[in-house]
Amino acid sequence: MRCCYDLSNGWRIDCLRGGGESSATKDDSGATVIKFGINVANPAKQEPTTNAIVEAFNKANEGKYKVEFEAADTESHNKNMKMQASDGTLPQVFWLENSQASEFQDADVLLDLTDFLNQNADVKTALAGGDAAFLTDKGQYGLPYQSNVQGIFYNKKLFDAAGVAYPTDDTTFDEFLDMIAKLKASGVTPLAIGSKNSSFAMWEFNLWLNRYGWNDTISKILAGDEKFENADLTKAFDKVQQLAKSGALPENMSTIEYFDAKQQFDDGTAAMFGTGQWDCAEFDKNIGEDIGFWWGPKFEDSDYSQETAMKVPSAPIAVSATVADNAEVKEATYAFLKFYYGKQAAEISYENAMFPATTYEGLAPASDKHAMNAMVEALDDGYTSPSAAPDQMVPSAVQQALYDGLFGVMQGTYTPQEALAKMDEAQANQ
Amino acid sequence: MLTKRSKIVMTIIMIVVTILMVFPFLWMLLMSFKSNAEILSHPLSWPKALNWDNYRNALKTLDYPRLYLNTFMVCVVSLVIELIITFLSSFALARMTYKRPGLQKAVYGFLIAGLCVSPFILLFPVYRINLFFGLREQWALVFPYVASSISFNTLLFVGYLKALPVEIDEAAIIDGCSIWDLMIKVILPMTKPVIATVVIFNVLYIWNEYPFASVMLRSQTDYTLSMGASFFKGTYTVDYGGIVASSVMIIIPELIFYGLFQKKIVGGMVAGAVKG
Amino acid sequence: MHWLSKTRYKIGFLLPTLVVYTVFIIMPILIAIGYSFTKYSGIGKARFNGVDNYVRLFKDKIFWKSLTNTAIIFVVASVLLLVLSFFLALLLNNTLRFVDVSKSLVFSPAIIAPIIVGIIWVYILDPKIGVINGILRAIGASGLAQQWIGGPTLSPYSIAFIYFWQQLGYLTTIFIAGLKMIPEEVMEAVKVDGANAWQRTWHVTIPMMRSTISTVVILIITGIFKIFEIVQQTTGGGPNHLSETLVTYSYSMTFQSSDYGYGMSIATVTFLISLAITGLYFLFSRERS
Repeated sequence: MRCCYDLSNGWRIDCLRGGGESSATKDDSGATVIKFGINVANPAKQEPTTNAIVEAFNKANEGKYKVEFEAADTESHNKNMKMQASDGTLPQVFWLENSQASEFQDADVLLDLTDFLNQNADVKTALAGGDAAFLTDKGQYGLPYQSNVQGIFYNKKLFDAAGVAYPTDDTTFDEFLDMIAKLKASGVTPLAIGSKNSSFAMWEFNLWLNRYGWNDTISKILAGDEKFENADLTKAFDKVQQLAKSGALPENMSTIEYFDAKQQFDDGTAAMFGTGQWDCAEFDKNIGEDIGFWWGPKFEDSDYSQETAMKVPSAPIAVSATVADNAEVKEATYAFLKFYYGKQAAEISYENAMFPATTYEGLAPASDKHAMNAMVEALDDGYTSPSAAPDQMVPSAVQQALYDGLFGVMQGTYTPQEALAKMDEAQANQ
Repeated sequence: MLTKRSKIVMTIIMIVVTILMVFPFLWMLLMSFKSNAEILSHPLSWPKALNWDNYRNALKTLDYPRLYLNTFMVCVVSLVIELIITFLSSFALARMTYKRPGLQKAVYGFLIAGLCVSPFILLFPVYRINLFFGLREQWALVFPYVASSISFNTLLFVGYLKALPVEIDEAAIIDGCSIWDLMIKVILPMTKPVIATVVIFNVLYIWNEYPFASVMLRSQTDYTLSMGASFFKGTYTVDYGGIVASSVMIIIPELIFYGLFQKKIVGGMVAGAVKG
Repeated sequence: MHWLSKTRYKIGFLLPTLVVYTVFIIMPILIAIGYSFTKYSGIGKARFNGVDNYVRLFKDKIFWKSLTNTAIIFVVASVLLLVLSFFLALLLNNTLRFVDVSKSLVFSPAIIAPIIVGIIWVYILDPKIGVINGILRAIGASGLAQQWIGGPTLSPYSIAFIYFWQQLGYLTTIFIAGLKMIPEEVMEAVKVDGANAWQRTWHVTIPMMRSTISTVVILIITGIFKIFEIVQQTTGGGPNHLSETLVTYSYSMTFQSSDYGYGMSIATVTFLISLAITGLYFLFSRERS
């Protein structure tokens, strides 16, 4: 029973519900309503792709199913999901910070999606292994929300003006430093980056870590058999330090945010910017066909393969375990997931310049999506990508220590060794 | 009375201080007419033209009447509850006699201690407590807001009530007042300035409160004004223009409200009351 | 008097406040303190780990850095605020032209959304694009240009200053309310006695405003231990936690590193320090009076 008491415009007092906890919520048309908890406050503006997919789903299933957003900025969203997990009111489907996934799994609040994948072989095929990143011995706790392609965007016009050749797959780290020196001499900021409240914005360095063997050693480190402070990762952090010392980064990087740094790239005062496909639409608007995309430098002193890219599953979307309590809700949730990973949704993604988590034949960005086409071009080299981005493979505290470490080295407050030791410390506190 | 010259000097100092204090606010007004790229790339420049886009955009993005109404309702309900309960308790602490003054001081100290707590410590526990009592939507905000105001209100009310001369009570008692008469007809009217102060601060607190609002409210139809800014700042995008414009729209009513209430603090009522 | 102070009145008057306060403030604090003795991520089951968090905290350099920063902010901001808000209140308590407008505008910093405060002050203090360094360079004093924020040392001072700017109008308002309580007859009487403005302030105004002053002092002390958004928006605690305060560090541990137990141990210590200083002030001010 749910009793409502209306008091001037939307003031409701919900009495404690007795019994029928698992009854499905219906809207006026009789459609089963499920909630999608998303990490932005304003999905239409801030996650237009997902918003469009949800709208398409709602339209196709009018009177049958309906997806509604439960929207809040990332920080509030993460808090909310934790609290709602404690009282069983999680939205049916929600975006999950992957570094917190194990915490959610341990609390047994996530639905194992193995069953869903078994019932929908076509989805499993389309995901092309992207689901593996979210499979543990406790089950399939999530599915990739999107595909992230991460690397360095560059502005061809500024490269031309400085008389510097565009970077290629073969550009080495030393050549990269030369490039930086010339760009700096031409009066632009070579690589824009901001650390204030944006330590997560280190995407270009995921590839660096991986080219120094992160993917091969991380499981050993997490198991306690190896340390972050090892010869290879020390080299990787050394390179970050050299980059900073070369003067590539904005002087005031500690007081600017990711948004300010991006603006420097947008308005042509910075030549390069590390990010992912989510910024494609913005670059199309500001830089247009002058945009180029590059994975990052080749490191000749590394023993690990340099033919690696960074096309990785983004954070997962997870399903609340309570979905299993009600057949109608479960049906609606599965229908939505099936749609979300279907071809129509993938098309919508491409239209909005996002890489979907799925792969379907014959889908490609339109020719005026310059930034995304630059990424597709880079992807054509056939490099392998790890199962997940390095920063997404570790628990929150270690992730934070990784972010602090990278920016600490860039800002000169940590040596590479100190940064890595901090990560070991965070791991030890787990 | 002040001499003319000292008045002029004081007015000049006042104007200088005011300009210094208000400068960032004026700057913000200017920013609200600039595009997002202009704000980021040329923070100090004069806006190219009086560009109302940010306001139009803000009005399109947010349902302001609803936000104002929600915030207003939460404000009114919280304020009514907190003023009643904290006035009563402060009256008991400030103007009643205790056999054990130590107990009185202990209760006072206990109530003041809440000032030392940062709100975010309370978030998780309060969420569960709300749940336990079945408090949802705006009710999930009202009680935390009332509770958060208790320390501040006690501090101000008790301080003020203690300063009122004891003779007032004695005179009232001789006139045959009951405790309710004394409290409501005699003391309460004399407390207007401090009530105005308390009202101002609590309204502004609730108007701007974000941590509780972002966590307790789930449905957009319940959102309060302070949630507005998050609609312009996502994980990968930010619209400073929208944030600034929506902030201006939040602040202007506050300033007007403050201006109106500030006059209530003007008093000298104590003096009058003592004589009467 | 005594006959009014019946126990049942006292209980009746105090009870509603005590109940709400205990349920929504004290219980949560106790719960939080309880969590400070556990390993907890904010979800699932908390695991009791004794005083581990406190031991870790004692050895945590960033914790000590946050404590130092908080102490710097405390010293700088409390002195500035107490003295200047008092004098500003004296000034604005005169019948001057536009004084009401001025009161509102001086108050305006207290109500600007934190994110805007952040944007504005970054444009003022930023070492590269900020107004202050811009002016210093323009007048040829670039040697004086500093890393006001974002550097390793000056951030806490800058934060103290921003906090001062933000709170000045707020505390001035409370002082003005206190000034209004001084009976005009008293002031007139002293004036007739020939006391000058300084003597009147020192011998009449300040003693008569003892309770207001103590209110303001308590608000300053407790307020400084809650400074959060200013830091978040100007430096985000950076670079690398160097400008972290106790509250922001506790927040970052609790919500960014998902280390709820450890975050709560920092919060508990912060709460106790703030409580201790407030308590000391109470004792001290009572002895004096």
